[in-house]
Amino acid sequence: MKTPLLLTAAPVIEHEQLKPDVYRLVLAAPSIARQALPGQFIQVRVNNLAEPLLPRPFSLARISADQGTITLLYRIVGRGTRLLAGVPTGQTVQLWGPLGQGWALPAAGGILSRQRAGWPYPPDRAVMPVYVAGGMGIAPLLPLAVEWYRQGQPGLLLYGVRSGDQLALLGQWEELGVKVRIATEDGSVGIRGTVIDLLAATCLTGRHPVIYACGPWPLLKAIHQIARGNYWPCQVSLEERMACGVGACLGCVCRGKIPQVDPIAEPVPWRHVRVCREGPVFWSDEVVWDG
Amino acid sequence: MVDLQVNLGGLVLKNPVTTASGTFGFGEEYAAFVDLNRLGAVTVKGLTLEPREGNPAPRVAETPAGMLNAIGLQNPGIYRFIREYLPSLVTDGVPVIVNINGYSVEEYGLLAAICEATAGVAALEVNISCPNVRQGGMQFGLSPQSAAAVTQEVRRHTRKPVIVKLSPNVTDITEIARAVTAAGADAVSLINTLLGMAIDVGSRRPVLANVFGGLSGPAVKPVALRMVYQVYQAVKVPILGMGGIYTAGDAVEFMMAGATAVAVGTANFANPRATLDILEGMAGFCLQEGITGISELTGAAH
Repeated sequence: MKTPLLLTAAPVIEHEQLKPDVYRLVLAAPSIARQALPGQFIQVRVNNLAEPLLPRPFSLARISADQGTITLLYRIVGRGTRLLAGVPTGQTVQLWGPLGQGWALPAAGGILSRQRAGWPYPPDRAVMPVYVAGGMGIAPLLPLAVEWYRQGQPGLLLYGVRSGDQLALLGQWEELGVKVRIATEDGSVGIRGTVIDLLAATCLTGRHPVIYACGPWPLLKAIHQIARGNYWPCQVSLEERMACGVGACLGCVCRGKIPQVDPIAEPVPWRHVRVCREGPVFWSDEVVWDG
Repeated sequence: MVDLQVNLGGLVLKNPVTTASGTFGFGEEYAAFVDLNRLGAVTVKGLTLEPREGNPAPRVAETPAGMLNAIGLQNPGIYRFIREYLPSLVTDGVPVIVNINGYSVEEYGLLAAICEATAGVAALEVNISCPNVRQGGMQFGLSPQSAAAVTQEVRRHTRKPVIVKLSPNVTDITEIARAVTAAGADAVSLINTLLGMAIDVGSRRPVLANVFGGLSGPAVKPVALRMVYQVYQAVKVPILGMGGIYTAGDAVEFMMAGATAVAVGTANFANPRATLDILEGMAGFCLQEGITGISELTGAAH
């Protein structure tokens, strides 16, 4: 791994309840903040007790190298997140990272370079980032938007949630000049439907979009299909149950179409790749979506 | 100073802390957190002759003070391991224990011959106890006859230390331990995971795609400790003790039950530095107790 991994006790700087079950957690972790790339994640443990045993992976919703802080955005879904929600300001949590492969970042002038043969999209040209977020999938996209903003390309956010009262931290997106469109399942804000409907209804012809998507598997699969049908490059950040988070246990695999590394071996249609190590971000056409 | 050196069936370790197969990858995954050369040995992920993709996801599930896994021996095959992963481990200077898994008795022999011919392999751990594969795996470890047959075949092909890894999913583990010892094992390691399962009440389906998986972590420690204690009384060969070791105190318990060395497994997931924390804690315990050689602890509870 190119970047060194760090294991550290990080003090909680801010811990804010945004919604009944959604929290924003700011941690002081200067060395991780300096190294982390958008789309990477960290492993967090609240204590060293044997129960719950495993760390919880969180993507970074904000990376502030200047302030030496990282921000997590999470929803309470089980024991680990419920325990985390109870950690007060000033207390420390154990964390290690930054882990995994992040998003493809823009070069100067908002150019996206894609060094892989066979992709039909013309390489090395200015493109427009389109962020597609389902629910808490919004979290790892903001640091990416910061990078595109720095290259003069604010882009477009398509954000789908169940109901309007679950929209969180939209102000930060608007500050970056990102155009925001919203879909809610109950129709309370924006269009009624999912973010898939939103993408299908958005005219991107001639805008040379690159799609960055994060959310549940069925959503990502649908986004991939729309992107492929339009010849748009598309990256997805996958979720899978993890144990170690560092590539050792092979617990969090998906089927990946990765280049044949072993010249002697029989060619195979797919391999199990580790979401924690080869991912969590993949080009969507490198993932086997069926079965 | 405490003398930490131990002798595991001819494999001399500078200290008794090793890694449990399948929980430490090929070492490099944890090299950022742990100076590998400080460990007694690294036991690598289980290897087969041919590459294997393993079971579909979900493969892991957290359970009270533990976890289930059903990886299904995903590995690049022993040849690619030797070409791509072994050299850097050897450079680190830590003894490498290679965990081998065959589909047949003959294949175990072939894997042993390959290990015998590979300079960087310090010892072999013969896995006759993987619960997550359809063919081979645990099947060989459930009867004394087949366990002995595998051990004998491996022994025939190597002079390196042979450690046979035993399954806890048997009525009497001492029977298997006696059989593999009589067949030429230099040491035994125990325990592998306990077969278990979890159900998602929302979907009314098993959590693991493989339905069953191996239980590990602190939850299994009392069972593992009991088995190490029993096997210590049953056979003369050294024991590599493992199963839920989470603290230095746990590791000391295993040594007192009869282990010559210990392996840290699932604890690595909870704390990437677990191996070194446990090693430091064990040395501290010896100092505190006025013990000059850590091997004095082995079997102290009997």
